[in-house]
Amino acid sequence: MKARISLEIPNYDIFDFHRHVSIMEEFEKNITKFNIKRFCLMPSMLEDDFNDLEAYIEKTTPYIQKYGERAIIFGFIDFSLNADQNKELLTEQKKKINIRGIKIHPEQAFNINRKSLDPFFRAIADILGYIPIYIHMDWPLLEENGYAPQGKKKTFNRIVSFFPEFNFIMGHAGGSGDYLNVWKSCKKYPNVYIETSMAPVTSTLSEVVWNVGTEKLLFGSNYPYCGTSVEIVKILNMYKVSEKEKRAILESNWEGLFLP
Amino acid sequence: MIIYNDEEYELWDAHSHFSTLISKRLKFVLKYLSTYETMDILFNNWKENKKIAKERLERNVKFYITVLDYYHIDKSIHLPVFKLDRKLSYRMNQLVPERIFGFSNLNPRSKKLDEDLHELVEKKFPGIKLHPDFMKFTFKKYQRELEKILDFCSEHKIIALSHTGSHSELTNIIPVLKKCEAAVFIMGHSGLCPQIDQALQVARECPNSYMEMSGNPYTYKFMEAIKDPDIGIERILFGTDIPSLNPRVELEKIFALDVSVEEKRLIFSENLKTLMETILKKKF
Repeated sequence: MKARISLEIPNYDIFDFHRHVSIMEEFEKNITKFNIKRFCLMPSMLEDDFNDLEAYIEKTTPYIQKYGERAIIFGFIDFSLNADQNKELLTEQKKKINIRGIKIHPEQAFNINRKSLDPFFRAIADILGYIPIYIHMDWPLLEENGYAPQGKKKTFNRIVSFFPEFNFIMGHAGGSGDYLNVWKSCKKYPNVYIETSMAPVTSTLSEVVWNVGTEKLLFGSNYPYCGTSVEIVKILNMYKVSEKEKRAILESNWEGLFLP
Repeated sequence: MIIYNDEEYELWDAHSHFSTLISKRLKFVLKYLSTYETMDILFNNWKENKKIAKERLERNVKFYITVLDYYHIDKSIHLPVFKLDRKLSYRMNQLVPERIFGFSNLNPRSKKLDEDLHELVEKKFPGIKLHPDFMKFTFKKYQRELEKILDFCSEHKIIALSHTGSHSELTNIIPVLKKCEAAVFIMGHSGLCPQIDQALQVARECPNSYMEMSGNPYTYKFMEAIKDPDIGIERILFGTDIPSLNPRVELEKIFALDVSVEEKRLIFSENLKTLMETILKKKF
């Protein structure tokens, strides 16, 4: 028997929590095609954004000019600098591109203990307040580790436990190596949200809805690296999740993090 | 067979699983290996479903077919989850050889590697599954054994498919594939996120390697592979990784590619069909 399938994206005003800059024309086509009304722009490790603030400001500025309030820019800190230097870095990003969140990438190589992380988080709070912190979740895969390093979620949870004042977003729903039971992080820490791009399975996303609540899931496309339609289909095909809940994931859950 | 935008596509799945351990009592463990939807397909009418066949292996073959039918998959490669599941693969090859290509599994660390290889021929398995993570080997450390296995596979027309992406430097398979150039090697998941660049490198350097797409979210990397004159669309295969992944999402990954309908058909079915026809020396 043949099955007729189609990608019928409901007429939702989508909020995309995870995008990167691209060729502007392509970017515009993409957000128009998928009715993406607002979005977060994140620095990319693949594009070396974390190491070149000037270039990052230069590439995000046209998006702020074109999209205004529709674009929410995430910035970064530099773990090789001290707290005062990071305050300057953050002030610069606030002034020039109005960053409203921070992305942390494991390849930035930082120590995972409260004492060494505290000055960086204090710098963020001092300059920007308790803004959302997004943590990318594919920890570096190294041959010298023998096998895929386990416990990425454990590491994420540790960082979260140090700073309960901040809201944290688990990028890529745990990543390809540690995606099971992500709902437990949300259950244990009320300040944890899950971003859905690149989530390898849909079951773990459904579990978040069933066990914790829809409001914990934030739709992300990871454009231009992943297919936007693929990431939307992922949400639309979540099992035993109502249309209303799917709509909230695609449309409005972000409000809890950015609106008063 | 599915219809998408009025175009028909046959589905040949290069990566799927089932297990003889399917049982309602084990549902609490199976949820880590299977989507809830697939479990519900089987368990919601468990008592009735169990009557589908008396013999356990035959019943599991039929359960697996129920899942394939549900997702409109025409033909599939079945990869054993656990060692004991090679019996299930064997039974599949006996019962439904026109639809299912049941692979065996092989551990390069096996102390009776020669016996294991001999069994492949004896039981006419068309392929083997390697899993560096579960089987605790790396392509580098077990290079000699892998060469032996792939030489044997090429001699006896057996496909090798390996899980990739979670550990073991994937590029370390390159010298093995160059040495065993007649062997067919499928990179399951194409290196997932962490090793996609390595998978591309393997594909570029080794024309006997194939990239299977299940679980890999990087659309742009597959476009890179398709446009690369040293790889090309003919070496990219559709896979669902059922029951672990959601087939609807895996389908969309191909629909999202900026290629023609004919090229999508290559990925969905024609590439694997060509491969299986060559290996099995028969027409499908």
